[in-house]
Amino acid sequence: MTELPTTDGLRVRWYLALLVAAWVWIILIPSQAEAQAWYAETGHVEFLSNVPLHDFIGTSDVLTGRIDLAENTVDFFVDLNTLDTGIGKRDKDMRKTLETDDYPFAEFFGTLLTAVDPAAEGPQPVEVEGDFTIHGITRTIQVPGQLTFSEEGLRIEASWTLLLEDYEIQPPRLLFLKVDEEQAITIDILLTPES
Amino acid sequence: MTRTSRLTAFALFVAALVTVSSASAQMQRTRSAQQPVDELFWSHAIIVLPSTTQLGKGDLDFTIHHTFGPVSSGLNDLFGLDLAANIRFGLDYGVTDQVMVGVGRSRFDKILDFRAKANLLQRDGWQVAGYYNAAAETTEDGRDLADRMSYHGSVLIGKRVTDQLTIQLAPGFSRFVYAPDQDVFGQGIQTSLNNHYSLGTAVRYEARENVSFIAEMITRVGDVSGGTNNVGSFGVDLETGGHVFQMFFTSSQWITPQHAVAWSRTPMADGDFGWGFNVHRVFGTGR
Repeated sequence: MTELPTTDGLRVRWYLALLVAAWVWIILIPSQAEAQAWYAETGHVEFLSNVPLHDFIGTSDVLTGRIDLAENTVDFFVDLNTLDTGIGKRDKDMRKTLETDDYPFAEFFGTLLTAVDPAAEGPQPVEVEGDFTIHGITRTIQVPGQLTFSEEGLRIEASWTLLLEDYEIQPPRLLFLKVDEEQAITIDILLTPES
Repeated sequence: MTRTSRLTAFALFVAALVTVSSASAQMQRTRSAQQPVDELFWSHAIIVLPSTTQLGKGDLDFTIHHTFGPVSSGLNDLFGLDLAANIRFGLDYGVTDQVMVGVGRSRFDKILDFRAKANLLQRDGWQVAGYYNAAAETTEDGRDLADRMSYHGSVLIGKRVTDQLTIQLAPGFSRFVYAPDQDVFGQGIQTSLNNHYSLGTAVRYEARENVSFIAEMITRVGDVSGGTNNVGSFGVDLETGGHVFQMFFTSSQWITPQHAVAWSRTPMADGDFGWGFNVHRVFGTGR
């Protein structure tokens, strides 16, 4: 004859089942959120340096970015050693200036200040706020930009001006000409749904 | 509820919290696989010897190389500055990150030279390149152009020993179609040879991030033309964004390697050198 479970035994099983269900439900929430997370490792970033008669652009195509609409987080970073100004020697000077051995990344982590609609067509102006770090210095910045949802993915374009002295970066000199304190930064990245 | 059940519930709760917190964390920052490789020398020439350093793809390097007479000429000739100076203007271009070509023209014998350098190996602080130079003495002296040609080929083997110290070996072979019996100054060359073997050695010490000391020696191997000498040079590299200035003393006024190997007469062993300088200016044409 099968022994019936005691009242205490039933209560324990009920608690355990409830906890397991709660845990599964909690795990499922970020899974649903991930359906709203977008990611890419091949974004484009460029900066424009103004030097009298010597303006130059540095670019990298390994900008990594992630946006999580459920968590409302925006996360970007780029390895500064990948920046290419078109002249190898100038690249080396730039790496020295930025001390990339000690501070390898330029990175941003923040939140969307503007609500976005994934169902909307066309570019949506947005603003993000967060911590931007370069050369070991972190400052809170607000950056305007635009998001565009399409069949290809989520395109993000943004630009802002970086002041070298804010990040304790000594402007390098090209012979007797000094690189301008203000650097125009632009990013362009196509994110795809995170698997 | 038993103690075991309570512990299980607590563990599940902690696991759930960890799951939630990790979902909102920043991405792991990882360095790109595309890391730059620092060149062993700041310019594609050490002093007379070519270096293993390559121009980047699309880089255009304009070079002025200037050597004065020997300092032993004394105060009357302002220690060589009043004597005939050799000067070479050159342009080199990075075809790819691994191959560069160049052309230049020197004052002595109106030498027009074409050169190419290809990177053969770059790994673990080693860099090996092949260098080739073809030069024509364009001074009209009655010879056919073919008889005025000379060639130099060498293998450049560079090694970064420490972060500051770099060395290079450059075994080379030079070939003159016609072996003259006198040099550009009208001085006789006894037993002038067509073929010359040489071993170049060089060292660079990076004293500061924009200052390094350089020295090189070109030692002839085997038979040498009479009245000629090995070539020694030493100096300093100064790097400012986009430019490299090299100031040096050298026992050869010849700038192209084959002519330095075959025709240098200044007796370095007696401590006689002439002053010189190189200026390299790099322009980017790729962007």
